[in-house]
Amino acid sequence: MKALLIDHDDSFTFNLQHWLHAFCEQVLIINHCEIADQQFADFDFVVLSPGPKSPHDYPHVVHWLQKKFFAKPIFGVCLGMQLLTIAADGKVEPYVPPLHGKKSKLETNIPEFNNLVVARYHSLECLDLKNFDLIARCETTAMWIEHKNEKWLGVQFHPESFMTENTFLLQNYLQQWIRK
Amino acid sequence: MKPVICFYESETYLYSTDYTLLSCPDTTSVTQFLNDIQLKHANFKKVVQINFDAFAKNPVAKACLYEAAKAQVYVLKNAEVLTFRDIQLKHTALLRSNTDLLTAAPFELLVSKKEFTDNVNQIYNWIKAGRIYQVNLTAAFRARLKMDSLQFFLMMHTHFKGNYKCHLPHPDFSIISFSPELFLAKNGKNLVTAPIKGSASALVNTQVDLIDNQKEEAELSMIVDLLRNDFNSLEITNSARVTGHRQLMSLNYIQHTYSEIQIDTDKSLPEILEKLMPGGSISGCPKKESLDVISELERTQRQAYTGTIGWWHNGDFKLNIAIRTFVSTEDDYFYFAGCGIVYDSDPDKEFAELIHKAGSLNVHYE
Repeated sequence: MKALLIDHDDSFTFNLQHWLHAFCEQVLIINHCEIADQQFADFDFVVLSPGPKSPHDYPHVVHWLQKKFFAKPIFGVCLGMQLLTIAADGKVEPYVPPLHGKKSKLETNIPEFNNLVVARYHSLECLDLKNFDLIARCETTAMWIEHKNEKWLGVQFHPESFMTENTFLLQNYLQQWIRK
Repeated sequence: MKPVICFYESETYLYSTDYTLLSCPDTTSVTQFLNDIQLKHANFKKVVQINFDAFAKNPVAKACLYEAAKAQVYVLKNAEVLTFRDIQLKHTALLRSNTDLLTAAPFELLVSKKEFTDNVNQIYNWIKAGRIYQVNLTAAFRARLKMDSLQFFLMMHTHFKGNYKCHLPHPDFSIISFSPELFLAKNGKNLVTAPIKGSASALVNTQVDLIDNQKEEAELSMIVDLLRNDFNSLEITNSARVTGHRQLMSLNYIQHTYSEIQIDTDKSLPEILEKLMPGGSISGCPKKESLDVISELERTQRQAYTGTIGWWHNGDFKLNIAIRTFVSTEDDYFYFAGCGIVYDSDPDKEFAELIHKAGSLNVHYE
């Protein structure tokens, strides 16, 4: 598979690239500023990277999502999930206290992912997720969402972090979800 | 010539009085400067010193504490490998204690406590708003002190524990580093980094205040992910491995935790530094945004401080993160210290850590 990874000036993008290489033969990284000029036909899916600031600071990415220029699967990580949320009429608001470099256990109905230890780096959270199914959470915070109509999947945690345990489970899940 | 002294293998030092000092011109990129040296002087042992922002595409125009090039390389025509004791024996005339001079000239912090803690609060607000996760905030100290830099190096050597000490003389200034932190070591294809994050006074309960402390754990974990990322930027098929996490390092007056990350790469020193400078542990996370925060908040350029110093020979090298570092000029000695600021940082505690990192120096602040 070929992935296009859109980087939001993050410091974990190359970790995500290596993480995706578990099942992709090619992962091309472009900067978010280049999104309007990018050709997408060659890629099987797009990944929106984590990054600093708020999704409202990336209106061109939200616009690109809302215009549905890309009909294939989109996977958003952290800020990436927040961008999917904004693009689908949800809200992103401050999360207090922020968690950066900390670990939590997922709460989900999927047995293999329930209680999985995941790494968190966020000071904002996704709310008002009427257009999404909630797959996993930590307490009341959405950790993993899937759009009800679009082929969009988002995780608030960081699957590429060295703190996230058994991360191959998520690599498998994502690979199957893309093919589904 | 005044000797260049640089940490080497197993508690020995490279010591040389027969060297050529090359400085990177303003108009040349550091990558180009290092590539040229690599071609021309491959077989010589070299000592490299590179400033914190030497690779910045648009370096900030900000006040400098002293005049210096962004990078310098000492090409050692002859070098001995000596123990610290051997070096002392070469310079017995300098060994008479000069501590009176030190007490008479206190190190004045060049920002006020209020300015520093205000900046910690500003970073706290930016973390809350999502701008950054962690920033390394630093400040400079100055002592009006005239003392030979080699004498200072020999005298202060026992006050600072650390495996990456060096003395780099220059006609206009000297750099004296007592760093405990490894930035990069390359041996064959193997590249290693060992970032330090998490600090506590040597007097406190290590288990409670450092090992079990979630703030200290998160500070280091973040930097481990950041350095994995920087290492992963070098290669596609080989991935970075975390080969040690949260190991304890006890120094004279302070204790730290550090981790270790490795990758296999064929890349050369100039290529590696271009992608990895400045180091993650002394910038912040995400790095690009943290560097903007640092240039907005810190008063003066860091120059050699938090840059890197070490040796380079053929393809192999070992470089420190230039912390616990002094710069001496004709009339002054500068020292620098900093702290990693995260959401749960307490401004007063961070200020105390800043002062604590000055160790046994006689420090004054407003």
